[in-house]
Amino acid sequence: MPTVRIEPSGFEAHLNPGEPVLAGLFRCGYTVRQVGCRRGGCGICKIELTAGEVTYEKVVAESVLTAQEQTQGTCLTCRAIPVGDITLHLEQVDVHQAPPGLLRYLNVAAHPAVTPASTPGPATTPASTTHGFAATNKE
Amino acid sequence: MGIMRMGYAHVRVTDLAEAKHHYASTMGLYETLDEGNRVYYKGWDEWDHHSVVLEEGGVGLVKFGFKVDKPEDIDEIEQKAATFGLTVERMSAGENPEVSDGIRFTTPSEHVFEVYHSQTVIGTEVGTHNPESFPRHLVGVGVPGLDHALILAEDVGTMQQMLTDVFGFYATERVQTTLDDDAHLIATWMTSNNQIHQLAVLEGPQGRLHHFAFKLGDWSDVGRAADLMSMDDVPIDIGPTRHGITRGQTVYFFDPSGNRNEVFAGGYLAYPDRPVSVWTPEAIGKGVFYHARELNERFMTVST
Repeated sequence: MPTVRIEPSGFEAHLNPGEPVLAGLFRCGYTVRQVGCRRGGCGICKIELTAGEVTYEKVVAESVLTAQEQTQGTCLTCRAIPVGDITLHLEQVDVHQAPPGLLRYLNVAAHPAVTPASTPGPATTPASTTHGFAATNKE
Repeated sequence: MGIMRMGYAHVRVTDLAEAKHHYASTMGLYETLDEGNRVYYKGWDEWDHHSVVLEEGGVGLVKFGFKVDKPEDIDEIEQKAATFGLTVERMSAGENPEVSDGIRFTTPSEHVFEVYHSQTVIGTEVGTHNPESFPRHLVGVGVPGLDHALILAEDVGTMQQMLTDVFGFYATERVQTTLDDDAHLIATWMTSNNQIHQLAVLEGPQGRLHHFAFKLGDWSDVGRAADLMSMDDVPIDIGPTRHGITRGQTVYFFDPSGNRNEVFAGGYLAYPDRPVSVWTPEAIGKGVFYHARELNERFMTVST
C-alpha cells in the first residue's frame, strides 16, 4: 500500500496498489493545480519525484516524457504507479487538501483494515479526534 | 465548389486497444478497416469509407484530409498552393486505403493536409431509399460523423491567409487584440460553406492539435454524451456548456491517449456575406465558455 508524501507541505496520501499517483491524490482529497488530459498525452501533470520509484504500466509517448526525464526523476503523475512509498516536490500553492473532516473519510479509504478511530488525523489538525469522523462514531 | 468538408482526421494513439474501445464503444464509430497498427472508422451518418484513422505510436495529429467536389478541384488547389509558396506533392490512389489520388502539403503551421476527391462509398445502415431517421442499435454516444478541428499555429494570420487563398475558406468569427485594422489575430474560425466552422486556428505552438470534434444534434444529445463519458470514465475537460463563439453546444474530453475530442451541436448557419463576429480579449472567457465565462488553464495549455 504505497504512501505518497508531498513536500514541503507534508501531505500524505495512501494509494491503492496499482493506482496512478494523480488519481490517488484526488481520491484521497488532494487537489493538484496542474492537471491536463489525465491520460498521458499532454505532460501538464509532470511533478518532480524526490524519493522512491515509479513505474508505468501503460505506454507513455517519448514526446510527453523523455527517457532522460524519467531517469532524472520527473514523474508523469497521471500514469505513474508508485513502487513502494514515494515523495514528490510540489509547491504549496500547487496543491490543496480537502477540509480535515472530509479528508479523514477520503484518505482512509485505502486502509479498510484500519478503523478511522485508530487512524491519526492529518498533521495539521491535531484536534481532529474530537471534531471529525472518529468522534462522530463514538456518539 | 472546392473544399466540401474535412473528410478525415488521422491521429496517433499510445495504445490502440484502449483507443479502439473509446472510439468504437464510447463514441460509437463504426470500424471499417483494421490494418493492425492503423484502424479506420466512420460515423453512422457518413457514407464514405472513413473519417477517423487511429495509428499506434505517440500522440497528436498525423494529418487531416479535406474532400473536394470534383477531381479538377485538386488541380486548382494545387496551383493555388504553389502560388501561395507551399511545397505540394501528389499522392496516388490507395496511399490512404479507399481514398482517391490527390495532393499533400505541410501548412505554415506545420500540419500535414491532404486533399482528395473521393473515397470508396460504403453507405449507411439507413440507406438512401425511404431511409429511417437513424440506425436503431447505435453504440454509446453514437456520433453521426466528424465535424471540425482546432489546430495551433504560431502565426494565425498566415494560416488564415492560406486557408483563404488556397482552400477558398472564409472566416465566420475571430479573436483579435482590438477592433483596429492592424489588430493582432489570436484565433480564427473558418469554413467553405454553411457549416459554422470546418477548421479553427488558435495561436500556440506549431504542429499541435487542440481537438477534433464530432457533430451531435442538440443540447440533449450533448448532455447524454457527457453522461456516457462518466459511465466510461472518460476525463471531461469542460462541459456540457455553450460556446459564445459559433453558439455551439459542447463537451470537451480526452481520448485514452490524451488527444482532446469534442462533441459539438448547434451553431448557426454560416454565409460568406455575413459580417464576421469579432471577439476581443476582455470577453474571450465568455466567447469560449459562454456559461463559466472564464477560460480554464487546461483548455489553454493542453494540446497533443
